[in-house]
Amino acid sequence: MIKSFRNIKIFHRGYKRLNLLLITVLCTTYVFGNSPGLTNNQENIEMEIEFYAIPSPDEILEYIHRNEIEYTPSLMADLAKRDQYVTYKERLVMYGVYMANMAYAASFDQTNTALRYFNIIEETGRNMNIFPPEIDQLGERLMQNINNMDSVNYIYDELYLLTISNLHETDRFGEYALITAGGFIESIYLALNSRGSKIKENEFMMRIWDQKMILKQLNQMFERYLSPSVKNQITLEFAELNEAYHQFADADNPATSEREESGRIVIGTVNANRSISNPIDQIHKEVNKLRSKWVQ
Amino acid sequence: MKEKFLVHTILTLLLGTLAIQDGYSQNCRGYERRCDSAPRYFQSSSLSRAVTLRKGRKIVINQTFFGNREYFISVCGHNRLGKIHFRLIADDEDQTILYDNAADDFKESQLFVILNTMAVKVEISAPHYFDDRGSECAGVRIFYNQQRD
Repeated sequence: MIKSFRNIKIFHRGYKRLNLLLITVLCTTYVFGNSPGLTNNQENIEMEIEFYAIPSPDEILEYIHRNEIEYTPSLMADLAKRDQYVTYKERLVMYGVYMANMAYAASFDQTNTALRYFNIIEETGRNMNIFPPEIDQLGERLMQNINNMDSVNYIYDELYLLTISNLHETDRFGEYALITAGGFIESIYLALNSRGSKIKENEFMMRIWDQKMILKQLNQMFERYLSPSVKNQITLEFAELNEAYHQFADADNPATSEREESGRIVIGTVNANRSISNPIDQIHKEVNKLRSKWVQ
Repeated sequence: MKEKFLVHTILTLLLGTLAIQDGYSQNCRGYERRCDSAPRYFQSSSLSRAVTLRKGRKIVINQTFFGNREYFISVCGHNRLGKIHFRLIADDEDQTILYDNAADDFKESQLFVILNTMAVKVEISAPHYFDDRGSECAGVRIFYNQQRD
């Protein structure tokens, strides 16, 4: 009896100490855990938080091919080999690759193929803990609307947005950079290699400029957000592709904006000197080379 | 003894809630959907984002806008933030300010025609929000419409 009473007393004393410790820790977190609680001088400094938003693989694909290519399933990543991607970097890049494949299938109304990619994306996303809880409802909705292609497209958009906003919200910009890199390269690969691709035509060449813009932002993301070892690896992988795109000249003139009577604001760069050579063959070769390094 | 225990527990819970609320970023996921929608013929873009705004914090989102497209951009934020300041800046050497909604009575949406693809920065802030400790959700919603060649 006395022993158990003593135990209760010890337990109570321990509880009190734990509680005091907790209160101290929480007070410290509350008082010092917030940046606004700084000196007056520091308060007046405006803080700038900068991040990136790159178009999704379906937007890149849509912008590049504009229905000018034929569906070529043999180009798509082999899902049976998904277990061969072992490192975290490989799996993130492949997540982007699969997203581009799902977009490609969906853009040609290949519902079943799009669904197969969706399942792998879902599995990969869960394993890598990059999904917010809302993803759960998406799979169910996709199954319910399996024959409705608009729903598949809508769910693709949702899947992409939920994943990306979750990565942004949790400051996982390095992971976002790698997923985006995979999606970007796969989208260009599919657009360049699909049957009927008009890569030699001027219209397509104009879109090189757009790809170059995205590539520039991707490189900035690698520089800012990747760990030194992954950054070195990916910088080396992208070196020759960057060089191929570099042959395309930059715009010399600054952008201007002008308001129309209707209220729209028209923005553009006047007399941009876009092309100094024809680097499309080199770009094509480098895209294929990088893609073959990543996708088995 | 019981009272002391109760006071300790309440204090712990109270401080815990405050610390968690202020110490970690708010969950603003999906907030951008509260911003104005574009006319029906526009498509929703993957470039839309929800952000957390604080006093003195400016959010800059680097984006690529494709040429030969119309873009509809709308911004919104929690009432407590007051008016949302939104600027569209060309990401070139001059960092030209292409649009500033402060000159437009902090209008929350604007339609743009982009003639050629360019890197832009969408910058948003809440200049009339003076709460030192708080933060609130805001969003940028972007739609596009492919123009005919």
